[in-house]
Amino acid sequence: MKVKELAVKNFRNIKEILLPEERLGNLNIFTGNNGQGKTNLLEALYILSGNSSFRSPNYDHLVNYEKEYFNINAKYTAGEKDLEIGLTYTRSKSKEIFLNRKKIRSKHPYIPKVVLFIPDDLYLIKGSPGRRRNFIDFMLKQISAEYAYLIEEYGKILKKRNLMLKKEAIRDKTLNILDGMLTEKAALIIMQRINLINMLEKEVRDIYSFLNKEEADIKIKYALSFPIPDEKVNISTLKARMAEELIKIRNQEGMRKTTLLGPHLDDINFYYNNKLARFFSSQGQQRNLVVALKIAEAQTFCRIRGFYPLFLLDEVLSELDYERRNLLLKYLGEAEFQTFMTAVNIDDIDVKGAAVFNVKDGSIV
Amino acid sequence: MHFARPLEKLIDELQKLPTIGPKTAQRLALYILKTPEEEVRKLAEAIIDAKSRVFPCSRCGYLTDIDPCPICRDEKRDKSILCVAEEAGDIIAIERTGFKGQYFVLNKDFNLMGHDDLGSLNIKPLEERLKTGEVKEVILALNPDIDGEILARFLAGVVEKYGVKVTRLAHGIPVGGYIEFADEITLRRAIEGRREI
Repeated sequence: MKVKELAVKNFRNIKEILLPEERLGNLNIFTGNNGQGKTNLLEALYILSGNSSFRSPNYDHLVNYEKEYFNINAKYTAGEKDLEIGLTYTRSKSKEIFLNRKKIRSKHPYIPKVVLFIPDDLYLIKGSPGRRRNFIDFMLKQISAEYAYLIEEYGKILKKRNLMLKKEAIRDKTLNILDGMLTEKAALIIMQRINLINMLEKEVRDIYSFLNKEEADIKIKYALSFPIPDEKVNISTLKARMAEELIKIRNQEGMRKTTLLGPHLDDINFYYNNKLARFFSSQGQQRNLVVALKIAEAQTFCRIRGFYPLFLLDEVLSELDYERRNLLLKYLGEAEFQTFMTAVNIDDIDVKGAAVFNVKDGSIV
Repeated sequence: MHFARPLEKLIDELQKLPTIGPKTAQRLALYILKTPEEEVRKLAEAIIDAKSRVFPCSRCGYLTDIDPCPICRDEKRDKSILCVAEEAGDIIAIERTGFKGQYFVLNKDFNLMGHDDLGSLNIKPLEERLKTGEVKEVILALNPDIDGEILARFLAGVVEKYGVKVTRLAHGIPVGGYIEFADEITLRRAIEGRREI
């Protein structure tokens, strides 16, 4: 996936910006002082993927405060296809997405796919398990609409089940049926997550070694919320084991009035040289691991879907030391995927071959 | 804003009806006031009459004014096929298809959010009919949502005890729809539910 032209209008502090084909490259850097609109450009690219913004769920916040609507247009390629996407949003109305001038739903298969790094992602390793689940789910949802549907259905069943548990007396008849439905979906979700993590693990080692000039043993392990022997992880055993465990803890669930196990409570553990990164890796090591993980996300996506997503990096350089900054830029410059990144200061780094855009007060200067 | 008390009361009552908001209620009320008294009386009587004389059929649960209902009495109907639906409204829709079997209506908004439970569902009349052995197939005409799925699993269990075949309505591409524009989930369901021709 490669963006060939980007036009942004009335978006946050951007009145109108056009990035034409002849200026865009494989590695694109938006530079400038704080508050000039660098991240706004990344945000514009990001919401073309149909996801709501990583900064605000409310589209009204994205419209320039003097205007009534915003408009983002991009020409891009996806595999062999030449596509043009347009996203328009008018205040307090719903957004409209056009693909090759035809109106589409935001779940269309050719809509741009993205991998995003924001400074907050540094909490991926040591933050709450929810962050790690979201990381995996975001990837899987982009990879397969089937998974997105699966997660949605699981959520609905879980909500019903929790409502049942909140009632005074536990109704076994309904709970048994709900357990059957819940465990069926849970087993499929867990299996897909584990398969993806195994693929990520294979990619992340090489990338980490390159970016850090050290051989490190990185492992990623899926941590289930109920016990099951490693060699027995398959869809039917997962379903059966979870069902058994749910029966065992039913009284406890009745007291706590909520579902106490399932993929909504699972976790993902990262190991650096056989030690849990969350507890034993330095801040810097965790940061480097997250950066490597994001690149692995793009690589893994391509292994499954056959094309690369767009790689969007917000303020990653300021998190890295001098040597690692240049290694990362070297990697991205030579990568097969297209990168858009923001940076306050590029004076001491090598940006040969990169397309640099100086952003000032919502315009390119 | 000031309304005459009787008018205000009429608007309030109309607003309690489903899909009727304040504006529609006001429009209906004003329309009723403009209508000749004789017409209004007819409407009022029709409401009272329907309410007092229509009840669920003791055999199938469909709405009727004679018991058993005309569908249950109809000898030409196929007694071996029984269609189970959630609401009487669903039967009206299925009748339009020309379906010639018989029905069983659960007559219950099965809604777990509304603190209902499967245990409170009255399926005795259904079991009575299955016991007679004349039913060879039960079609579950339930909505394709989570509640429909819970009901389907529960009822399939009940029906299977009597050794009767259970089927569920297919989901897939709507008539007049194009494969190209169907979403992946619908299409997947349609492929799973494909049939020989």
